[in-house]
Amino acid sequence: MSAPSLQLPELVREVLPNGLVVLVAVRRTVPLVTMRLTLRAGGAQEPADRTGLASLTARMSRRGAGTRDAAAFAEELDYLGALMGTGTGLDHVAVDAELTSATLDEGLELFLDALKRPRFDEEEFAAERRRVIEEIRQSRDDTEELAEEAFLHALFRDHPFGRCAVGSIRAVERIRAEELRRFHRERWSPRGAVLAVVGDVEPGPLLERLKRELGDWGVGAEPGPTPPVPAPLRGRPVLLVNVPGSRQVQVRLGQVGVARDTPHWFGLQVANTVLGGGFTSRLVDRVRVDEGLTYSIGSRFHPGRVPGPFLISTFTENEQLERLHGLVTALLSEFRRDGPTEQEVASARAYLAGIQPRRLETPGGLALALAEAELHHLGIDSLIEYGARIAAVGRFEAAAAARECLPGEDLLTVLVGDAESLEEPASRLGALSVVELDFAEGLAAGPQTGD
Amino acid sequence: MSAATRRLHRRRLANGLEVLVLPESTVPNLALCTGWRVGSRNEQPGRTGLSHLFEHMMFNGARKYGPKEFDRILESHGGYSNAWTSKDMTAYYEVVPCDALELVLDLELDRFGDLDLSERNFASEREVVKNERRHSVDEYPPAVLDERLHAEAFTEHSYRWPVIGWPEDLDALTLDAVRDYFALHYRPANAVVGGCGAVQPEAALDAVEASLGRLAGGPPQPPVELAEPEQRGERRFRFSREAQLPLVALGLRCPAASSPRLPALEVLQSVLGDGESSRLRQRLVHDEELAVDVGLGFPWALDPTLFVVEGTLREGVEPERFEAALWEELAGAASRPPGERELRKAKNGLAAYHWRQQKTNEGRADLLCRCEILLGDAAALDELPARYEAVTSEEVAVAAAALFREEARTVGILDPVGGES
Repeated sequence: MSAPSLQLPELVREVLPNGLVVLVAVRRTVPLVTMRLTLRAGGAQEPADRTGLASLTARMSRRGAGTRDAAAFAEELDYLGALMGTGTGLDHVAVDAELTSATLDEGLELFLDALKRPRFDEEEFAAERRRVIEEIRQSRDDTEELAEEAFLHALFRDHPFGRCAVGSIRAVERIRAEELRRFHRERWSPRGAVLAVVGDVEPGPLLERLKRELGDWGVGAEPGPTPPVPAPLRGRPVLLVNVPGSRQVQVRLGQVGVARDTPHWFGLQVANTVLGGGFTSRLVDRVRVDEGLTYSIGSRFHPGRVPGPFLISTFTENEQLERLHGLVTALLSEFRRDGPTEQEVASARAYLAGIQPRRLETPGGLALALAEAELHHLGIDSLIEYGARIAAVGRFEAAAAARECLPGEDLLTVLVGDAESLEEPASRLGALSVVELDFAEGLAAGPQTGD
Repeated sequence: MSAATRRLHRRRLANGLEVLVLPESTVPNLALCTGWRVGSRNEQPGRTGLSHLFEHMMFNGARKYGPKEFDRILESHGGYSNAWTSKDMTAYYEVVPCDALELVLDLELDRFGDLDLSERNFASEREVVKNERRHSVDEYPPAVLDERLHAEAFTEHSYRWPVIGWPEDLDALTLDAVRDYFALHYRPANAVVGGCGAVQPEAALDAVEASLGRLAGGPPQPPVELAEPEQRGERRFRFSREAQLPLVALGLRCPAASSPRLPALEVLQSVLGDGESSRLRQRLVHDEELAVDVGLGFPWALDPTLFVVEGTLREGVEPERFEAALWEELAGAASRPPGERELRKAKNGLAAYHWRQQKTNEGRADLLCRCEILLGDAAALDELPARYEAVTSEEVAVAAAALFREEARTVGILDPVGGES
């Protein structure tokens, strides 16, 4: 049987003379409108000794903009029932707003103010910096977040990928408001930027207004290239971050993965679904369902303009660490060697094609997919063609992706838990380094490498 | 179809199952949510956590589709499933391509009617749940505080224990207890099916009737009769544990979702805590910089419940200082009703939130079941914005006066040890 195929809504695309790509799609299921602006102003564009600059600039864009100070801006945003947020990655910063269609005009004014006219008031900046520092402290109670950061840092070290997204307290303390103003002036630029608007809108009038308001937006500096990532780690390094008293251990295993332009992209979607994507994946099936070793386990890639990480994420009670680690590494190497079965490939294809409409169902989901298609030069049709392309992946293609893209003998393990209980079992997993949390400097110590 | 013109279709089957269908053709899939009127509220002391552990067991095989088959069949047809358990409800849902309705119904009929409960699956699943508990509660200070807050604020009612159960009870649960639980609570008259997606409503109702209409009826589940006595004095507790920052939580006795005061309480909650410009965030996070975060909320509940306010304090802030400022703001709400613009802001925020919950078929199906079970009528789905709209400033002040009373509050403080020195 075959389900009715996915239809994309009415959509317009326009490239402004300053380079900004604007996409508008109509979706009237609920009276909301999502605006997603993606800029080449991520961590890769900040100086090495200013970790957190890109993220702080983005956060400060809505702490006062245009004629409104921070409190007035927040009040107006709340009054409209609107939400606005920012997300900072390696390549990009995304500014997101979800507006009600009844107050689209007023919401758009706030969005454009945050984009073009943030105030970066000195006092407000100092307050925001104090808040960020407290949030860094708060995040240390979240062992999952800690494990992700420690893993990225161990893998990518001083590369922007490896610097904690919010930065260490010491790094944040160094940043000055003037640096934000400059970063905004140079990097928040229409060059390489994409604005996707999806929801309950009239595309014609909206596009006219966006052209009027954004046509004069200055072009800023040419975005610098995203720096190449370090070579994959050698050997079997194990990094243990000490959280005293914890009875459970967070576990991350992985390696440098692939870039978005990998020729194995579609094969890898299928292969990773079989390994650790859905609930019937090998990792979930063996580690959770059969052995009851964890509540949650999964594997994923984070491909960007440069190779991002591949990682397996899970947790277990301290006493089960070696059993879990042995099982996961055995499953990984077996899968890399033999690839998926025909039946697994068929199931993964159906699963991926079936859940694609869910990813495109909300205004925000569709805006994200449109922006990604544009940023990676895939074309809008790639969303429609996705199902057919996935359906064409055979066992050979998926097995090749597993072999080429998954880590082999060289594999990093990061553990977050109680060093007193874990040091001995962890030392049997590979070359162990134990680090203490250092708020001031972040996770300064890296793992030992095998050579 | 736009939100304004949609129509809810309803059918009550002969075995008592209530079926609701909302057509929506944005994407070619459908969500099916089955909500059961059973949760940790229906448990007995010594058997806490049974509802949630039972929910896990629903994925471990039935008569026709054996262990692991449920997810395998669903995923290999492009579907996805999950489930959740609360104090008042348990819900199971699937999202599938819209031509797979009959397949999903067959899977549900099998497990709702003929669940296979075996020792081996049970032992393994118990370990998964214990692992989930350590992860989501024991290793996360705000969850530990919240758990203790409920245990102190209630003395009789089953809302006093956590949905995931006490660790000792999880160890003591037996397969027989799980079997008894299934027989007692999983009767079709105890469930609501909410379907939303690209379907013909009458055809979908027929399909559900042809399938889940075959579930055998049975006696109604025993009512929950324990009432919580009125709280006649403040309760207070304080403890230390490994954490980075001090936490303060307040629990206030709050009416059930059936209360006519519900819309006013939701507006009050929004005035106090929704958005950066809300009263609590503006004062405690931004103006006085006492907290890094402050949040508040209460569940739609079948019985009188707890309105919880929680703050994560900045390093070095004395909990007493934070608590005093917080209480001044909460208690002051009775004499400081929202002005015209502040009231408008809260209503706009609630209306927008109402739509945000309905962006997906899954979200709408879930909300349908919650409205039917917790608010008493799925039609509330379309009426909520108008109910918020009707709330007056005076009603908000009255709700605040009834809620924020010193003699009916429970205060918990967590002092961090072992954080940064």
